Amino acid sequence: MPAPPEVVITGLGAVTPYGCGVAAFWEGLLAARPTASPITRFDAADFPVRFACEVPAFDPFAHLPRRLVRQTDRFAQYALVAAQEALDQAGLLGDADHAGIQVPIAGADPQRIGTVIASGAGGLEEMTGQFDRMRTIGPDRVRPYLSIAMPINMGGGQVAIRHGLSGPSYAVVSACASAGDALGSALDLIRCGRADVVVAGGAEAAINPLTIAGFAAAGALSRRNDDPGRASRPFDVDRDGFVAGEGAGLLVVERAGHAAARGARPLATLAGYGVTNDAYHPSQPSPGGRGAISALRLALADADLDAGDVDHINAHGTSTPRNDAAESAAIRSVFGARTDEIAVTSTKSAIGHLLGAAGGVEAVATVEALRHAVVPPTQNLEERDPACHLDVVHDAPRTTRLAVALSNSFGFGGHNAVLVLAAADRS
Amino acid sequence: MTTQGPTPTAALDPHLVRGLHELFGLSAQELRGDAELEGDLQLDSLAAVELQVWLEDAVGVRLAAAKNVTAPPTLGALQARLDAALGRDGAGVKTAPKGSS
Repeated sequence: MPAPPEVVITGLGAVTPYGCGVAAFWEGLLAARPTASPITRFDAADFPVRFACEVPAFDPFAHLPRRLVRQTDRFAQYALVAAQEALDQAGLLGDADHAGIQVPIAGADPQRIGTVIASGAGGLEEMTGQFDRMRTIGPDRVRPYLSIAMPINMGGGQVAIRHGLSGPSYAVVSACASAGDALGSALDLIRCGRADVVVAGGAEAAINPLTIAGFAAAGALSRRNDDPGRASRPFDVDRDGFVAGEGAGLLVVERAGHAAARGARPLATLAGYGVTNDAYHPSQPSPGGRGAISALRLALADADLDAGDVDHINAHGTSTPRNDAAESAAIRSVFGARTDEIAVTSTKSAIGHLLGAAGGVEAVATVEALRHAVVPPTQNLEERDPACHLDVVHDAPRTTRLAVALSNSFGFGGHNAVLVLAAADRS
Repeated sequence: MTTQGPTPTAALDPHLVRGLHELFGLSAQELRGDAELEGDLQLDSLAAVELQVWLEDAVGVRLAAAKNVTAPPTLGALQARLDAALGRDGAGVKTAPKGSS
């Protein structure tokens, strides 16, 4: 059986609690600025958890035409902004007026360009807002745009419509593993020949009363209301749950030969993907992280690499007591003594947990780490939990040779997704 | 050529003008009473209903259903339905949305 075609990353786009753009994201990660602050999206005064990592001062009208803003929930707006940045960097946008409704592709066949853009909850604000209208003033007062603003696939759908992308297009949902699985799906689509380019990743805007109330009731969220900036503390002995975040992380995933033919420079290689289900419990990882262990091993095998080849892991690292311990055990089980030579970081320490978008923004961070040969620090690591026996970069960014990195995403429902990314200039 | 509604832009209800701008980014200069919603303003049937729901919230009354369903709807026709709902031309009955006093 012939080897699958090489697949690379040619564009990155992000909207994060550091603001719009990959540059703001990377700069914030290196400076280790906290982003958690009191919730402004709704009145959280009576909630047990009153803080989150919100995208600051996001004005959709500054980026998108009014009629597009009207028909989209915030999550799809984040996807549209991130997609435009990624496609622009990939050199795939035409000369059309970027304020227009449509900003077509140039330099590639749009029928061979797809979108796989994940979200955990999709248009949740749309759904809850229109539900309130229905309950208080009647079912005939629901706005018709609910039907296009709410559905989870509309991040990808609107990106495809705006840029004229008529290749394979759908959303992938696996809770907090969604965007990791979206990127894995993009890899598979290109390898099997259904597309040459896929805009993939995730978008989420779920800082919503119901989500916060539900996750808080489940004990999943940190309750450090008096000091939000120090609440997300992956691998730390005092961690007490994750901090909700929002935004979008998208990557232009492209067949290497296609990129080379049009003179596009790869930012990194998407070398492999491992995906499993724990088959154990809806919200707890399997003991010893056996599902994660399997996904890690499958990802390495898919990339035709060994444990000894890995330099860096962008961990799932949610700052929950269970995940961080189970993930650490899984990593040590797979890598053994080599674990001590792998620089680990958790992006969630900086921007919180972006849920269905986490795998996307964290893949963006991993590509940037490979490109700059720098691992950003994990914030708030003051005393590492002995159960988390990893080399977690903290206090300052670490400059170090990086050839191969992994990005882990694990989701409620037992979902495990591991991506293997390699430096573009790795020989 | 349509026989419905007023033609000067100045005759268009300010709520309608504001709604067209806020929802769809249309400027007052683009609006004429005989402008077809779909053909001239790129407002499909979904957008037309979205605008109607918004208008009804803005003015606090419900619009009666469009009478002439074969001709493409125009701004003037929408204006006429709004006038009727607000009792401005003496026709129609004011119907408040459920839940309002």
